[in-house]
Amino acid sequence: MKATAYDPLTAGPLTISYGRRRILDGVTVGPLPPGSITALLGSNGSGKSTLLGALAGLKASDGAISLGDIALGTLALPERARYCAYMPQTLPPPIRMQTLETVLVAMRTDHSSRRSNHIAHALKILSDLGIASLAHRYLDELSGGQRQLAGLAQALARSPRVLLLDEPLSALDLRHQFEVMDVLRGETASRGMITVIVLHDLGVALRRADQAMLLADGHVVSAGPVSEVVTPEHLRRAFGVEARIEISSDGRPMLLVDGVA
Amino acid sequence: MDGDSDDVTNASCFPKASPGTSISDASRPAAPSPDIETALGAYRSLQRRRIVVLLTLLALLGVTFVINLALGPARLGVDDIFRALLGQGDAGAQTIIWRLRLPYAVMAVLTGLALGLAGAEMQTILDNPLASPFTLGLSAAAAFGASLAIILDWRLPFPFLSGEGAVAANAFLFAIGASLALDAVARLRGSASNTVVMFGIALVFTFQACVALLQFVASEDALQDLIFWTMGSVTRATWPKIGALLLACAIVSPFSLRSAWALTALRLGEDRAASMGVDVRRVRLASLMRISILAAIAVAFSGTIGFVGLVAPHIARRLVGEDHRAYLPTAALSGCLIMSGATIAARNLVPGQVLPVGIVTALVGIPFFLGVVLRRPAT
Repeated sequence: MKATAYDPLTAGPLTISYGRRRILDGVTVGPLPPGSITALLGSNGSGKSTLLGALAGLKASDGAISLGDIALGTLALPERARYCAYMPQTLPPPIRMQTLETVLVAMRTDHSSRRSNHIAHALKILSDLGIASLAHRYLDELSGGQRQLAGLAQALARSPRVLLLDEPLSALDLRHQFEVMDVLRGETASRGMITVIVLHDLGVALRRADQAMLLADGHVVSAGPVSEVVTPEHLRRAFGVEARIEISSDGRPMLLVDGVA
Repeated sequence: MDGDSDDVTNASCFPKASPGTSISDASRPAAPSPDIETALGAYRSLQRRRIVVLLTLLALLGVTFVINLALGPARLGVDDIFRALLGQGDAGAQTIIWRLRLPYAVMAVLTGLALGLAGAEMQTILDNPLASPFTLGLSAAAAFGASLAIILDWRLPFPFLSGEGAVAANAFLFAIGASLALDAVARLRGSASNTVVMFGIALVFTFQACVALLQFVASEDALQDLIFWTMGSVTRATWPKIGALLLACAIVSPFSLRSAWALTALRLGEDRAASMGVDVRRVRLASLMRISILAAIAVAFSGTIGFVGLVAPHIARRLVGEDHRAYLPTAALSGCLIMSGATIAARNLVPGQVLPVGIVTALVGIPFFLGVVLRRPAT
């Protein structure tokens, strides 16, 4: 069984409860095609992060998760780690390790025979993310945003088929947010990755994602192409806000929020 | 077969996203991006530096070990020592070396190794820089076990052991019990390592209260024995004890080193490690078992020696960073070195008397600790 670049990611229906509280209730995902970015949207506590964790195999769920013919849900963690890379919302802790080292640890590659290949690979990722100059600095000397970029490099360096990112932009300044999204677009397309990103910024989702899933209270409000998901009607239901989608002067959609519904 | 290794080999040939997408690191505009040769060189020199640190610590340990053998009321030269070690020369010198100084010196090194390694793993799996066998109640539990034997003559599980053996056995049982309790809490609460730390602190206070209670009802002689025990000492070293501790270290440390990658991954964050394929629960439990064995045996034989398990990991982190392939051995060696130095001080600070080593570990370790930890990080 071998994942090809054409295998889509499908999951569900997934139901996850903590105690008596249902976090996810029969959520189905996909099929998400390779080379696409899917934004997971929704208000706080809507189940976005839980869904992402379930896709990563970190949360026990009852539904099937598969990548083409491969039943990801039944794979042991080390096996599964070969297909999925997950970046949690929490920033990488400020530990006493150099950025490059942590990327190598994430790649779990230390066969000295191919060390220079691995270092070249890690360095390439770091320079794509614009942090090659931080390669030999310790994480405990970096800012939160720089550590977030280092965490992203750790996930990307594993060359996953499925890249799962929980709010990868939360600690980044405006410029880096857009630059990271551009890098993700490029890498997703060139590697044929299936990228799923939890996003708070609907504007970024509108402009940079292909598809979206909008969650509210553990249910899917809407899923599909991003322009069909992010609509005034759906936003009212998911966030309780009055919003408009206008076409900006460059011809792209933009979101205007007028107030609480 | 589409694993990481395949992807990694042809990594350098996948196309760059697009020429314009690279992020300029706005915060450090002048820093040039290292090319692959520079990066490889820097990585190699980092590894080399770690080996140099380890060798330096080893050399220092050798020096303190010989000083430990040389210093004492009976003046012995280095040549006397080596002759005695080889079983030649003066019979008196041989007795002094083999019966007194060598057991102390070896016991000190092994105790330091066990506590240093246990503390290093503990701080990693509990993700807390204050974790150590001492701060999380293993030592306090051992002290309570010892006090039961010393004061109440309670030696139920091992009726055939007498005196000191019963004290050590009791201490060991209680230390293992405390770590099993920590382990149970870790299992119940899953990943919440803060809960484990809180529970450990609760254990410290509980057992300290119990010991105080026993001290209150103890006879004067028993009280003196207990206080001496709790101060920690390697003068109780005997070759069978050394054998047991050596065996524990020899069995446990290879497993520690084998988990080095998983433990390093754990430092990157628990969820991150899990998504890299680390079975976090299993790694944590296995590590806790190793910690229990090392710390319980060390504490049972040498009493409560608090400082080493807490400080050795911090020294190691500063010296070599947190790649556990280097961090674990460095923490173990730092532990050895502190204990070895402390033993020298304990045996020579007051002429004609051997101070309890637990008193001097902190005094000897503090300058070392401050020197390493308070030093401004090199940038």
